[in-house]
Amino acid sequence: MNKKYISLYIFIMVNLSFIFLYIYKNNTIIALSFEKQKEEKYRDSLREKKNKLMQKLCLIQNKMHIKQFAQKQLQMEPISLKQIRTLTYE
Amino acid sequence: MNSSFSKARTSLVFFVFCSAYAFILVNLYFLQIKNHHYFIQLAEQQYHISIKKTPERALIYDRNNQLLTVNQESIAAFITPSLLKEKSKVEKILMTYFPKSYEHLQKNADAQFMYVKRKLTDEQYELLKQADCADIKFLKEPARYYPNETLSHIVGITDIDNNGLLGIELLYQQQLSGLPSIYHLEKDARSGYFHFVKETKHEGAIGKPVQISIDSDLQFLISEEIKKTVEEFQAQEGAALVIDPTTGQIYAMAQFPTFNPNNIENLNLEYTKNKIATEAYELGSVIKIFLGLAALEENLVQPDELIDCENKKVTYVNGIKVSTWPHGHGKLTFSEIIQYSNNIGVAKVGLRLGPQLYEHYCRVGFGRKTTLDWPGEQKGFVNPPHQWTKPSIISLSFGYEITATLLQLAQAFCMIANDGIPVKPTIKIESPIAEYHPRLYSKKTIDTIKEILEKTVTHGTARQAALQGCKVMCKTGTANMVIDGVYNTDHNIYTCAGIIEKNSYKRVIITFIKNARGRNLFASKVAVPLFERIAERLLIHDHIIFEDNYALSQVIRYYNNPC
Repeated sequence: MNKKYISLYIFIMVNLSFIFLYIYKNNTIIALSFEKQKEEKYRDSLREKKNKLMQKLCLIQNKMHIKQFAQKQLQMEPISLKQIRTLTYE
Repeated sequence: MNSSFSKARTSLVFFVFCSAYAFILVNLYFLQIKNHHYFIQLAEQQYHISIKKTPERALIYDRNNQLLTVNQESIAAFITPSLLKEKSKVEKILMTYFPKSYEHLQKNADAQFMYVKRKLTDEQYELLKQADCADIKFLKEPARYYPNETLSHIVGITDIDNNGLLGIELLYQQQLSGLPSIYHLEKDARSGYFHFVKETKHEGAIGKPVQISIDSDLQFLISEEIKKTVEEFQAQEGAALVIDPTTGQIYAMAQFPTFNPNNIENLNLEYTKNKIATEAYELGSVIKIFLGLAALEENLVQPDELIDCENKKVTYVNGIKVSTWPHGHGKLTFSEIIQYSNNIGVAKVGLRLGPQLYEHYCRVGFGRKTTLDWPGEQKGFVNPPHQWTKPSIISLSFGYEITATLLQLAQAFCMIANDGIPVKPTIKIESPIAEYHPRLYSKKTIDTIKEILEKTVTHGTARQAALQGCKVMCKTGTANMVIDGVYNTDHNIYTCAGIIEKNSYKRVIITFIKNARGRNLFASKVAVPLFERIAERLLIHDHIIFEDNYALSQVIRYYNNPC
């Protein structure tokens, strides 16, 4: 009789543990899925930041601004062919 | 008596509970069996949604991998008209700052969704934020930023939905936009951004970037020169094209005026056209070089053959009045006729060619589109022999009754630079697939024409195009424009088309100025100096002029690549 009750007890406990493990597995999947979605959201926000920085970089590299800076601040002028002299090895 | 009363009471309670349970069972039947599909659908709508995700639009680069487009986010303001809480406040804001949206709201008061304005400017966004109206909400939408205004007519722009509208954005719309993906999400009412299950219904593809053959630094330098010339002569517009005749790759395709692609509020559509490919003009004397090709190839004339140009500015050739500028010439060799661009001499040679001239014009590519396949590209027009009148052969001799785009002109000059082998103009950076193209003209004819072009620079109408350390060959053209159906000598098109060569380095340059103000102006004063300045910029930019200076070229190589 005791053996019968013990087997029944073990059977019920194993089934209960399977149920809990199944629930735990699904919870873990959902939690990891949420983590993944958070990372994707973070990646999208980084992409937005990258685009904004690229736009800033393009503004800094604006050729008209560079030209005006070179001419006004650095007093530079375009080279003409007449100004180019031949150089030798010495 | 007591037992019968309690029995009755028990029965009554039993009956009440049975009725209640029966009621519940019936309700359950209606909920779970009869209206099963309805509630399933309701649940589906709440828990299951389909979303369409569009990939980020791919970028466009120049030949040196410089960015020509950047993705950015634009902000759009929207309202839900059927659920407005402060309707009068919203109406007041819209009436004051967005009158078109206000009218739209009046007509669609029950709509679920309505844009107030898409692509808000910074000022508009600040204005709406400060208005502090909870009914006006914002969302982010993809948009483009274009860092290089001089390339606006080439790169183009996207529309309000970020689809290509002009230029490269339109030409490569499918490649840049990719394909959207459709996902099926399972979420509950409180999960907000997050979902439980994501099923891919349709797998899309990301866009592929496009690299064009344009050098954006060169484009900027050339645009500056065109702008200077247009402003100097108060011209209507100007353009220039630089192309490598060996590969057909276009290095620069500039025009002025152009437009700001980042502010298209009051866009002048005229400035959005890439006029080098989409506008065909009667180019005048620059076409004479192709008459020369035809006449030499057909052995109808020799380069040193003397032809009587009658020493007059105006004369009659075959009964047709012909005038030449700026002055008449006596007897000239055929080579000199082209160098000095004498219309009378050229008309006499044209008569020898007859209808063959039409075939030769078509052979070099006039009258049909190039392989560039630009949106809106024109094929031009060559008057066919069956439509000729008596003056036609003479008009065709010096560039009238024939219209061509600057791109077609460049393609024809590339053929000359390439020793008679045609080349296909392209704006893509890919290595050209080796294709066999039969030579269009013999080497002897091409060499003769090149000599004539070189002498046009050393002795003829293009003297200002001469450059130290480099071989320059070019032809000028001054063509009257048609104003109110009549050729007008006060309104002209000035063209200079040529080739610069140094060792293995070759470039074809076309310069074009339209309708400069001022009398007695010719291409030699207007288009040739522009050609010379562009050629100079090109040679310095490409470091070609330093090839003879070994020490200096080493310094520059080190500067560019210290490793």
